[in-house]
Amino acid sequence: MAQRYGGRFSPDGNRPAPGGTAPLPAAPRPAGPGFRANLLFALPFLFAWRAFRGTPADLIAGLGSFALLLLAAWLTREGILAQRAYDDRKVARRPAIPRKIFAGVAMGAGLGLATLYAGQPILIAAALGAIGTVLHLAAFGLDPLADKGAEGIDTFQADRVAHAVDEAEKHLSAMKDAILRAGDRKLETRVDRFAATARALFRSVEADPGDLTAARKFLGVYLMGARDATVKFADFYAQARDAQARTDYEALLDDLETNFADRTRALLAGGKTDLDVEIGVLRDRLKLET
Amino acid sequence: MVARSGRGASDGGKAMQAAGLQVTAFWLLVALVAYVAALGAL
Repeated sequence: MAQRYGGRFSPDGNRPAPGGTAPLPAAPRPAGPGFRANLLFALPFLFAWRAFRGTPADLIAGLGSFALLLLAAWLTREGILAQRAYDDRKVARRPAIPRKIFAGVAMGAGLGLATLYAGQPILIAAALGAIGTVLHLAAFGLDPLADKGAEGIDTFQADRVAHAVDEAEKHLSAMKDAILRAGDRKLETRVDRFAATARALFRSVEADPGDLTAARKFLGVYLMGARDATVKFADFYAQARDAQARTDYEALLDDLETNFADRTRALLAGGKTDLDVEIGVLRDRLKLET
Repeated sequence: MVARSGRGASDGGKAMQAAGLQVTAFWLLVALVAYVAALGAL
């Protein structure tokens, strides 16, 4: 399996996790939609190039095909990303729009239109369009058409979990976005590590939606606090490069990570341990930061 | 060495077949698009 390059002098080199906690498993996540989906964006240009070399009717048809094929490429890309998000989650609702299926239809329509304006009979155009749709669906698959993770859980609770995790993911990506402003790769890696720890908690809650009550504060208030602290820290640190602020911020991340990891473990153990003391400490820290 | 025979091996084989089918379908699609584009250029 691929492993991120890193050595002794890399920003994340050989630093033990805070509190001696073992690293939690994080799902590997490929960065983009993949080569094939990207290649689809190149195909429409065959038609755009041709469109400007004929009559105005050719131009309209060529640009129409171009637009439909581009729409197909874009929908395919979005569909692949949506499916990946669906696969990553243990509890997920089916995508509201079946993007890959729509992409297949757009592909067929684009090819049909182009064939029609190449002077072929409508039957041939329809057949080539249908072949295009079928090939597209075979190449990229169908969208997930059913909700998953709803077995034995009432939909209401599963929806609450999915919603809470979505919100929490937003906080995490805002945090990652904000720390870029600080312009410090080591801190970016540090935030990434915290995000992995937080995601382990998300997966644990998804596995047992009954835990949502116990983890709600972590998914909401604390992540929001962490995000706000990160924004303020990034703005300040980008200008001042204050070493003390950096140490404080790292200490906050350590605290957060330890608390999130502990909560995940507590949930995994099925325990209902009260972590109010730790929460109090964390909360005080957050107050100091914001 | 369980995957040599039985369910594990056939699941892996099926996954490979599906991946192969997807790749074939994709390149056929690319060829079809190129063909239709060439059709208009004639």
